[in-house]
Amino acid sequence: MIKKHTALARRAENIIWNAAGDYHFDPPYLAYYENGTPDPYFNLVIGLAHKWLDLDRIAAFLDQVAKGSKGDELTDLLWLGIENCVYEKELPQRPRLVDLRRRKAEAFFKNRQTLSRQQMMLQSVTVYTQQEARWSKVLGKALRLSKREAELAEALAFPASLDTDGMLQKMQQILEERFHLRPGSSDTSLTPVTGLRRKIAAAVLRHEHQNTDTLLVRTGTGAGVTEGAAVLSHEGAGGGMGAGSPADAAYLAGTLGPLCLREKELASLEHDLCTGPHTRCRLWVSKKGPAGETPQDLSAKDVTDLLRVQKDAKAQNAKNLAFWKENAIRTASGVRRLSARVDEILSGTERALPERARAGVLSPEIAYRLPVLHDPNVFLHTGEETQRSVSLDLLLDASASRLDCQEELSAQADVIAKSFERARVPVQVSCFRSLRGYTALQILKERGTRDTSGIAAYFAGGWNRDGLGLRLAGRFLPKEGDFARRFLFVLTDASPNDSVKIPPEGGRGPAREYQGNAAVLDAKEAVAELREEGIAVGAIFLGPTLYLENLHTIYGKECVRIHRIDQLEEAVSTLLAQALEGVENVC
Amino acid sequence: MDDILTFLQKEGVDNALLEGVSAFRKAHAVPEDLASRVPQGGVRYLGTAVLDKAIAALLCRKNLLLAGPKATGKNVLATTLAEAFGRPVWNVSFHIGADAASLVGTDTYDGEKVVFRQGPVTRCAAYGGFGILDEINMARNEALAVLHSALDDRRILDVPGYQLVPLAEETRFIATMNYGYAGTRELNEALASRFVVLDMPLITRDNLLRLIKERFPKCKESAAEQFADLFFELEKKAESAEVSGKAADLRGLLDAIDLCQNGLTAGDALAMCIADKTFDPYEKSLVTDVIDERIDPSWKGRELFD
Repeated sequence: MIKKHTALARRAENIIWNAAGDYHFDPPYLAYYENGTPDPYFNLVIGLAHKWLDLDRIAAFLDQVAKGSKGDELTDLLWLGIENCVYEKELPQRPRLVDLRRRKAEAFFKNRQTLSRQQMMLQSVTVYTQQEARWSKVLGKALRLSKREAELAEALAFPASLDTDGMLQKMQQILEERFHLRPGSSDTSLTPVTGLRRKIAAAVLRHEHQNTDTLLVRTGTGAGVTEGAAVLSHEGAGGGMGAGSPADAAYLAGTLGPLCLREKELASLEHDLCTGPHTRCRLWVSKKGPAGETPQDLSAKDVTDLLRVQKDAKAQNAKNLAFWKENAIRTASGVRRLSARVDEILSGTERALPERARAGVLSPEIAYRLPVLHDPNVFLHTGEETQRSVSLDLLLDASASRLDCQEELSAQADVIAKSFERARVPVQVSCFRSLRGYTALQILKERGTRDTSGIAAYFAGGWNRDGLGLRLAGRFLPKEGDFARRFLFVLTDASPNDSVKIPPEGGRGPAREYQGNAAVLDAKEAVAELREEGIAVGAIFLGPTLYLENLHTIYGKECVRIHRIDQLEEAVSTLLAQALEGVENVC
Repeated sequence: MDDILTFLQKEGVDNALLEGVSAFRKAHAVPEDLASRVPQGGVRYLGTAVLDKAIAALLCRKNLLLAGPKATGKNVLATTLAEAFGRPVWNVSFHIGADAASLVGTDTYDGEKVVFRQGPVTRCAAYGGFGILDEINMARNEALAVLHSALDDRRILDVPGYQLVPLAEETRFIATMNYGYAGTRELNEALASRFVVLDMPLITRDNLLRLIKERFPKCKESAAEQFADLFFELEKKAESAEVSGKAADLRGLLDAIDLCQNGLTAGDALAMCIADKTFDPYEKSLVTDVIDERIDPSWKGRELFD
């Protein structure tokens, strides 16, 4: 793999080199916060691990561990052990470590308060508890742990006296005794427990998800999933094996609104789109929000869950409307400003009407073209004299990563929709998410209506299977020829992930998670397909720096980055201007 | 503070060399009007091997060229040597605009007639001083040609339009050069051959600790260790070309400790004296990371000093 030296990676490496005292050392790991900035403390720990231990051997061991089904989780746990050991070894020479460690612990608890629902879903209970135990201890906080948890926490407090052999031995011991993984024939290989013991172990060990507030990114392995994407292993409801039960459909109808397509239409869509990596997926298209009725065919648990979601969605709708009302003046001025800007940008694209079209009033002067040249555009299309030949589709990411900005996001979408309508550009606002194996498109504001109230039904929750979401949204764009320019602007965090796995090619081998490089490449393909159809796809990126590389991979240079949701309207006009002027933007 | 000979003795300088220095001092008394030019006390160079070599060279009537990167104590060594030999010092700081007149002297009008006003090199030559030619490779080589006859066996300074000024027996020139700075140039062969070159090593950790303790006697041992380690970490980063040499600034470090002693927090002092000297934001972030991993920015007063 060609190593990428971004400024942030270089900074992380510098912290490691400084701690290691060795500038020739090629660190096997780099530690980042979720926002993509280097984690100073954990990079320091990596450097110290090189200084005090044979990190190559430890990395080789951890690589073996990472190959297992719970590899990421176990690796995170073992790093807690390494952290303690090198901390104690280095402390006499670097008393500052006490403060740095305390700061890390404080950041952990602060971060916990701001975790989104989606992030919470990604938490591994074991890792999270052990991190909480470690950082509570650092801060002198009391924490109630079960006997098992307390024993593991104690075992993970690797002492300073350990050398590399001792540490490897200790790690093997923990894996064997606490996770039922036993050492293989060689020193560092691990063989998962098989047979009956595995079944028992599987029953005892819950399926959990990888977590960490710090992402330890393995470098130089060539593993695609680590490139630019957080390594997140997760399984959703249904064990990642797809969806389609009547209960799931009923749940979707209850949470996102009833299906607005006829069954045949849906079947046709699924036939076209749910192929390749999306074979196990289903589609759902609805308009506005849930109807508030409780569908049949649901289990008691689902009904409880559904009622909660409906209640949350209703509350969010009220919150959105309250926010709109509260910011009515700002919204009005935003609409004035943006519509003037859009007006100015589009003034160069206006075309005189009537114009040639496939339907309308037959134009005798050019009628000969149909039989002679097979040109169907021999009719004159009548319309408003000032109608513009531009359409806009705004596709909002409705995954749980937007939990903390739902009101503002809905208000911004409202401003955009109103502004474009005022500038005589038909606009449709939709949002997409993946839930229970369904990739759902929710049309909040339809083209052809000026009513934007449906946007208030926006709420965040679920995953985002960008590749399928984009293809699905593409089916609801205006037809080619209806408009000279069709724009699809996507609000994205460029981090696609979903609980439904990618089936193995040829039906053999294990299914892969829809995440990391595989998901990014799928989304990239979807964008390329849309562009081939003549749709101008642009992205507005709101997310951590870590995913910037994904953004460029998926959307190329047709993107703008915003840091706050209130920059959305400006970003849309910038993107529009760039698309019309053919100017490429570099984030 | 110990007198210089005691200091050299404690440093472990070779006895024969010490005797040579004592004899030199006895043989060459300093005129009263020049006594103020003889360095007294202050910061002294720490490093026995270097002191041995430098003293040996000067006793043999050689001129010294101290070459090395910044923060290796070139000027401190030059001053320490002048103090050891008890000679008045003339400092000449070289720059791109330095010319022969600025070194040897120039004509001036004294109110009645045009007279020759001696430049620092001429005065140093005439009065048996130690001329410290600082950053000698900053000047153009042609400007230095006037020094050639003074630096070789002829030991005379030929001042155009004036007279020949023979060098006093005790006159020595100590030049310093740093080949890393921007604007420095290669010293030409003619000039380099007139010096014996002392390649200055980086100060050792022990010596830096001693230096800190000598400059700041109240500085806690633990704090001094962290400051010293910080310096070496920055130095290593600069050596690895991850940051420029501006960050590995020993003077800056000592200044920062000084500011701390006078009430500033360590964070502010180190920012002013080290981190803020790197104006590139990315480079500054690397330097700040290193500082932050060593020194608590809130440290001040009692946390650092007894």
